[in-house]
Amino acid sequence: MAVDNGWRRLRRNPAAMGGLIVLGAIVFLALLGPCISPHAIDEVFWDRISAPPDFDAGFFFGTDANGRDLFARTLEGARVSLLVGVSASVISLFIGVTYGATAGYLGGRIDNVMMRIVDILYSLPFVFFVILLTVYVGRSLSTIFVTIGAVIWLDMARIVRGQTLTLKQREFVEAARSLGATDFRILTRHIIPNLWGPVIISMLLVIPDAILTESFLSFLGLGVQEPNTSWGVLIGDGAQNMMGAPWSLLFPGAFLAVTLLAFNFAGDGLRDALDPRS
Amino acid sequence: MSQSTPENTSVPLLAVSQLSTRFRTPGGVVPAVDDISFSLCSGETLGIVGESGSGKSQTLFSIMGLLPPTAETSGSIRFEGKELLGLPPAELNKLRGERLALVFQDPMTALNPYLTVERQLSEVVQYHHGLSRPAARAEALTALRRVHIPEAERQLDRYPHQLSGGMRQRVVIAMAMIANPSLLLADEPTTALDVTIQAEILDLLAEQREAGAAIVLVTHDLGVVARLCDRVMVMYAGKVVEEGRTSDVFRNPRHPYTQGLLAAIPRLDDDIHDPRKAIDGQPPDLLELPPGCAFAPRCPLAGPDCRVTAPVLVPHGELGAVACHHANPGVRPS
Amino acid sequence: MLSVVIKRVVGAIPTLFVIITLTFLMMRLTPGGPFDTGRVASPEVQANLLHAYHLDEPLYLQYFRYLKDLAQGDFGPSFTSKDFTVTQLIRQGFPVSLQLGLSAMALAIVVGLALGTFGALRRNQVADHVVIAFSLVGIIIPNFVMAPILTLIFGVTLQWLPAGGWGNGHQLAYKILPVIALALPRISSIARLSRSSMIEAMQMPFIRTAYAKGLPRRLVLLRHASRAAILPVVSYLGPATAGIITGSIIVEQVFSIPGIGRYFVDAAINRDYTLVSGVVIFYGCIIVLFNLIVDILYGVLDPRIGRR
Ligand SMILES: Nc1ncnc2c1ncn2[C@@H]1O[C@H](COP(=O)(O)OP(=O)(O)OP(=O)(O)O)[C@@H](O)[C@H]1O
Ligand SMILES: [Mg+2]
Repeated sequence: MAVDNGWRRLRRNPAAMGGLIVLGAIVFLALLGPCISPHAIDEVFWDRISAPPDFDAGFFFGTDANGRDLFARTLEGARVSLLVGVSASVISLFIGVTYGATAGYLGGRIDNVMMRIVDILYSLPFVFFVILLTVYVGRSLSTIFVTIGAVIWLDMARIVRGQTLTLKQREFVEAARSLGATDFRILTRHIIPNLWGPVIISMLLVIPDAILTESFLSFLGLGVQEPNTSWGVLIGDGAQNMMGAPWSLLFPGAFLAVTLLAFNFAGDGLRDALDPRS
Repeated sequence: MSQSTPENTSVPLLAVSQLSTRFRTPGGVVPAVDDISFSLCSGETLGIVGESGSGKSQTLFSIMGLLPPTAETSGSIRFEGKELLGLPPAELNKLRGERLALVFQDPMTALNPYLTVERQLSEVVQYHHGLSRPAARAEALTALRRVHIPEAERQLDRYPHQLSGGMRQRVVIAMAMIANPSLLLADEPTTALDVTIQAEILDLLAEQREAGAAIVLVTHDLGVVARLCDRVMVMYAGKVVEEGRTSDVFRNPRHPYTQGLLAAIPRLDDDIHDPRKAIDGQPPDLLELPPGCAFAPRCPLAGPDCRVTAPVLVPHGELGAVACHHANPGVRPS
Repeated sequence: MLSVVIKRVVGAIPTLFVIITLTFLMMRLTPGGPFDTGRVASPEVQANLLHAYHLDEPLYLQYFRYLKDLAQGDFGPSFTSKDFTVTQLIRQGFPVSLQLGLSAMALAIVVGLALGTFGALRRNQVADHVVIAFSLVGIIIPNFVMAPILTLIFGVTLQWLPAGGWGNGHQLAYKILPVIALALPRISSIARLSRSSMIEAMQMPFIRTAYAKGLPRRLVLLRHASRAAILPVVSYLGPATAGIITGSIIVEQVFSIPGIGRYFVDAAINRDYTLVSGVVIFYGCIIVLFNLIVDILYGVLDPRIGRR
């Protein structure tokens, strides 16, 4: 029903389809990175410190200040950035859906209090808490996605709550209740499975948010640490090194920008497709 | 038509001829107003009636030049001898609000929620008459008093959301009348108001007419037309289906649609359990008008001819005209 | 009006409270945190900390003491530097950061509103598409990419402007690039927002009323549409403040500007727990304060709020 309609609307939206295709291509590059790039990410070429792109030798994006192949490192960065984005959004998905569905389903005073807490957290400068957490807990990759996930679930919770409020009034929920289903069962069997539309949309908003936060931290040296890399790390290195080797800034920067653009278009398109009213 | 009648040999204040307004929409072209002509002299009141969506408001908006960019207008609108269609914006702005003014249908949304009543009233005279702010404020106060707003002085500094519906409607009317326009276009000024306030507002319009203004009054309420209007024009699906002197049309409606409208007026002796004899069916979708008469699908008199050719407006008597193949020939008033 | 202000101020207190409490709890309770014995740097610092935080007292007493110190503007000693307290470092950096942030905010509001309104008035024309594209650029190219690129182009390659530093604090040339870099993403957001809110405002029924009065387009826009159109932009100024602060960390880093952001990053890298916590609380207060101002401003601009 609505799903088919949504698909048709999505397919007719060239910006959204373009966004999805670009995202697919970036995921593909990230996954196949090690197979495509001729050089390893940590191999040091002493004769090529900060060398410009050289297609014949297989250094498509040039090398960094340590003589490492930037093409391989940019694709590795894509893996890490996407991994952070997806894991953080999955974590925020669990927190957000549980929180939002509970608040929306229980309603009344509990809902008020729960959403007031979300409002308060919302006005907090959450990046600073991520930094605070990394300072206290240490800077490992897993800390990063857990902390990012733990602070960006607020949007998800709001959207899920709104949707739950409307679902709650639908006949099938009434029917289940009149048959004596418990609240927990209604929530897990009837409400949460029907939330996928808004949840997918907010995933598409949360992932770029997480990627951006990770890059921000890594740029400052507070995120992913050597020998691991990510777009933020590469952009940070590139910025230090840009006088001699502007490509070391531009390539990872361009990848990040294109990814954000693609998420932007895909997210907008999906929202229009699934929820034509807004 | 009216121009040919002896008492109207002077140049009319407003002469609309063959006015058509179409909207370009994704679904096709919507002919909201289709080939409408009428004219009006000073001191005259014309009523326009018709069901929702029949094009009454769009007719007024066309005259005021207030249509959205998706609209296309053709025909001619002469006001005080000047052609309004195609008039440069600067010249049109000199007329709007000063010589001709519009009372909006919905007082809840027509006022700017962010500005005080005073600001919204006085800007008209500030702009058109170059009054200073205090002078304009005095004018605004007078205008509010003229529409009998209680505690007018106090209302000046309030915001629209602080006023009741009836008060807002009066502010809207005051706003239209503040510069003493010679033509007042009133779009359902009494809908959504309770009966006592309705009566007061109608009195206001009557006062305005006594002062010499011409009024076009759009309404659903035939009782209002009977009270206030010299002539009436009945619209259906963007076209005029019948027009004439109010007394003639009411006493002797010729178009089956007009007859239906009149029959639907609730009367005192109606059995309240008996639902009103409204016309069956819905007005047509303007995107899919039937080939013949637009009213044919709902018409009790429709024959095969009605579904093929659209009837044209045929004049009869002094001021009357009707567009129907099966129009009631009418009993000659003695 | 006064009651609205009081209500907003009271409403801001829980947020402030949450910030302080969270920060305090993190500082005290995280395993491996600063007060986990055996991690503290030098004996002097340890003495400082013990003296300032009364670690021998129960947690709730420490908390109240912490609140009391904060209320007096005392953020405690630095964890890595024995010469400066957190308050001194913040006091040093704040004027620079404030100047940078306010200039960027002002630039963003002026340029963003101008672009957005311009786009809305030329809706679907070339100029509008340029505005849309521009606002997209600011959103997809984050500060930490844009700032180095601007330095590279205007500082290094063209050499029109200094590539870094803050000069003596009174030299405009040093401020241009950082302010632009910091403002760009906000310009984009404000342009985007004001464009759509202007388009929406122009379709409100009361705009038709204004035209019906014979007002020229310029007046209709300035007096009638702008009021409605500006409100979403005003409510965006709260999040924009948070964005500017976050961005200033990057910009101060890239341009080597001696503001709070630089201290903050250095402190985070060196794990100067007390300085990081102090700056987080300080930033939190600033954001809460700005949100408060924005709320009150909104109430002033929208008569439906506050007044009866
Ligand atoms: N911008 C527009 N685009 C397309 N169609 C429009 C537009 N504005 C009005 N219409 C159509 O024009 C027709 C006439 O509308 P109008 O507002 O004149 O009706 P009305 O007679 O005033 O009805 P009501 O009594 O409800 O006020 C309607 O069918 C409406 O759908
Ligand atoms: Mg109407």
